Amino acid sequence: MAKRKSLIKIKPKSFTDGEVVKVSFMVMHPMETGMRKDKKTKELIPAEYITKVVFEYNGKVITTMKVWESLSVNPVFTTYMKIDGAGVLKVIFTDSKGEVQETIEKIKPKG
Amino acid sequence: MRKGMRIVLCVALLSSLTFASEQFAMSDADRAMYEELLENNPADMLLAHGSELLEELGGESALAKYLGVSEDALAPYLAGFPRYIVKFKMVVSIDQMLQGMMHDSGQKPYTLKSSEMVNLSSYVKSIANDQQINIDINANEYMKEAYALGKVVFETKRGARGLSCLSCHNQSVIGSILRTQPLPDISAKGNASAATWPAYRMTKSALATLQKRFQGCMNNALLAVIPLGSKEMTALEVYFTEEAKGATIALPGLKR
Repeated sequence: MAKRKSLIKIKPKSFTDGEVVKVSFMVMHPMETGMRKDKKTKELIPAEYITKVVFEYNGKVITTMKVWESLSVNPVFTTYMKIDGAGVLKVIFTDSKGEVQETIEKIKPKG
Repeated sequence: MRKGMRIVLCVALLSSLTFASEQFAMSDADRAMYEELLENNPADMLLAHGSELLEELGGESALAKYLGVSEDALAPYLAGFPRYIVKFKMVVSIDQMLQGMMHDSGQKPYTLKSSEMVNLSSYVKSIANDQQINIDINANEYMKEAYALGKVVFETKRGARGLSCLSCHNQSVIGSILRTQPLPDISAKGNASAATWPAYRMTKSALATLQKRFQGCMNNALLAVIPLGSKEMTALEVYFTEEAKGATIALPGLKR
């Protein structure tokens, strides 16, 4: 399976140590519910949706999100976190087909 | 009971009419949601993919060199597309210019319909973010011709129902509800659509260019769909870009 396009956004863009920032994780995912029919073949499209999203900062889990098929296509997951030194933010998602993918964003606080 | 229903219906109709007089039929809560989504536009990922594709072609420096401008002048230059380019002997929009660039560097160009081309051309247009649209339709006879043709395409009645773009987008019907949506004002000067497309469309969950949007509208109005990149389609884009002249480019946009 090809890697899905994903992106981590941090607001504000420049931040200092100890600041609380907004972290958004976006992913291009079809989020098929398994209830939709293919218009041409009239067959059900197999389900394929994200089931779990984990935010990890320097190996420590910040948030775990359980996800169901009701979310829209190309979903956005947002959380808040406190900056605690330089490091990496890792977001790992699992989908209903068992596919696991991680996205990494480097964190460099100023000052 | 029936009378009650009728009153409810009347109220619903009246409220829809009052909403229609505004430019967007959106409640404040909806607008707040919309603005939040604009912050996290899913199309940012596609533009990131587009920037990777441009790096494969040699990045912004190669693009500037191909267009014959300095790297600093690239953004204002891109804000003036569609342009007449002497090398091609025609008025081209950004995607066709990129096809030419790929061809000249010995690669097989992406088709105008492909997602790669949509991502790439959207990224290239977004280099001109925060610039004002500076198209010059009086630059040469070809641009003048394209603008005139674009106006004709916009106003010509076609198809089984004899509809033109102007039939639904003229000043007298703007704001009326069509297919549950208020008709936007795109017929007059100051319509900034050229500055906010390519945009992520929430109903399609995909990034679409202005030309693709025109095609969608033609399809809905039962008009024969004009192919992407054709003379007429580029002319229509020139017409729209001229209307948006002076508007600040903010890409990627986010549309219903």
